[in-house]
Amino acid sequence: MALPAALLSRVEDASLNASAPPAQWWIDGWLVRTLPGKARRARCVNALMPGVLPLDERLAAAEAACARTGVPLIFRITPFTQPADLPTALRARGFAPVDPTLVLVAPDRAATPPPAVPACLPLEPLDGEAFAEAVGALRGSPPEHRRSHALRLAHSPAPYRGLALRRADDGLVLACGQVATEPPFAGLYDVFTHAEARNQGLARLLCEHLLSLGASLGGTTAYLQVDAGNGPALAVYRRLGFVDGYGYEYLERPAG
Amino acid sequence: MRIFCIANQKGGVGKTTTTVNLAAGLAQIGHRVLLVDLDPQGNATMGSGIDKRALEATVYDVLIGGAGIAEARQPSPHGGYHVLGANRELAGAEVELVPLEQRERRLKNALAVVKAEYDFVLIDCPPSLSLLTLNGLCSAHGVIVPMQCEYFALEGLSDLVNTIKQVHANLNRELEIIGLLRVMFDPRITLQQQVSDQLKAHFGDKVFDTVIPRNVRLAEAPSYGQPGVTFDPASKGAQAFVAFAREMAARLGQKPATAAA
Repeated sequence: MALPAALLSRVEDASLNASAPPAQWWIDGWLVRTLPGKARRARCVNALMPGVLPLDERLAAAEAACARTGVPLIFRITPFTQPADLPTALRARGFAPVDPTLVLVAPDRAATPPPAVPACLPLEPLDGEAFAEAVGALRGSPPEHRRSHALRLAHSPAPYRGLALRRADDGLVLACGQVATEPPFAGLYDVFTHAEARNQGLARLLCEHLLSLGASLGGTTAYLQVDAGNGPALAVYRRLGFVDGYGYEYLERPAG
Repeated sequence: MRIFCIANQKGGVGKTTTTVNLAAGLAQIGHRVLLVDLDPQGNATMGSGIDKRALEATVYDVLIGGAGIAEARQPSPHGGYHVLGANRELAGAEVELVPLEQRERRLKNALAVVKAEYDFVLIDCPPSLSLLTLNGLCSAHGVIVPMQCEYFALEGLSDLVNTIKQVHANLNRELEIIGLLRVMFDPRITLQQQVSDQLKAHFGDKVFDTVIPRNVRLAEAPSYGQPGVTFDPASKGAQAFVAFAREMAARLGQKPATAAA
């Protein structure tokens, strides 16, 4: 089923809003995000308007903005990128694609109560700082990445809610994730399962609770971004009713 | 922010147990909740783990204009939600509110100040139709009615429905019955099953699917200053209240987003 272009364009808006970092600049129609940290979406260029400057001048200005916080110049290329031939021009200048990603959408999800969680694995709401710490611990992220993540969550115009499934015995977080709501949209972010707890249905259980939470806050059309090669995650999301929306990738200069 | 009164003009039907445990259940599934205790007995305050005798400011001060909600609220130590507490002082508000301007909208105006901070406000109403109850009903988007499935249950309900109709017509056009919650339910008692069936036949979708069973752990929890939901999460009563929170949140997800404003 192909989703309407107008819906996908609004999903892209919602995902840009939900990933807005405190540090971003407009440069001749490019939204240049420069927050250091793990998330590429908070440190990349979104080419949203054709602009008027010659490409090399725009590149130099964007590179200077990135240099102020020490992040490399990376482009996020979506079906909405302007002008459409920008990726070709960037590749000709040595930029190469990384991280192909799929945006999945579940329009107008039926609002059904999520299943109960087992008593041995209580569900716990987490504020932004606690969430950044929990998911940072699961991913093994360095402290500066966790701080940067918490900073972005605190400043997001689309409010985030974090949930964790924590093992009652020892308090270990086995799965966590967040939902960012901008009615009628709800975006799932940072869904992560502990390596020892995969293939037990925890990601699905957690996502059902996140989706219900998002829907109760007005976000009845859900979306998420997932690594195009992450088969297990894609299978979970498809079972939850998500269908393909569009794809994007990053273009960056190879190191060295 | 959605504001709900938990109300029934019949006493002893489980209003406070419902308010406290629904607050804890909603908090547990990720919602930000404020419980407002509008009953001078202060049972919801105590049941949330807050000593009503030690409160420096209460809902009384908010209604009279002596404090804002931000100053008067307290976190429930185990519940995961905030409480605007009450104690016997609140009984005096009935008289003191009479000469005040917008006397039935004092709570509504105070809640407007904190609307960005909460997803849900749950108001535990006293069983009588008083100026306090009226403040609750004027503030709310809807009413949740806990009911025991007993012989006189429907009689009390018709009084409440008439009150809600009057408030809807004169004071608060948004007010509606969100649903009826069957509480203290024992399926082994034939009469309860019959009344439950009657409720379903009469009110259809307005009856919540979740049924709260009669459960001793729910009854014990207040003496430990905890909602049953956190006191014994594995108990049938606690699990039923969390299921109710999930059902309610899902029902609200079906409404247009503007309802949340």
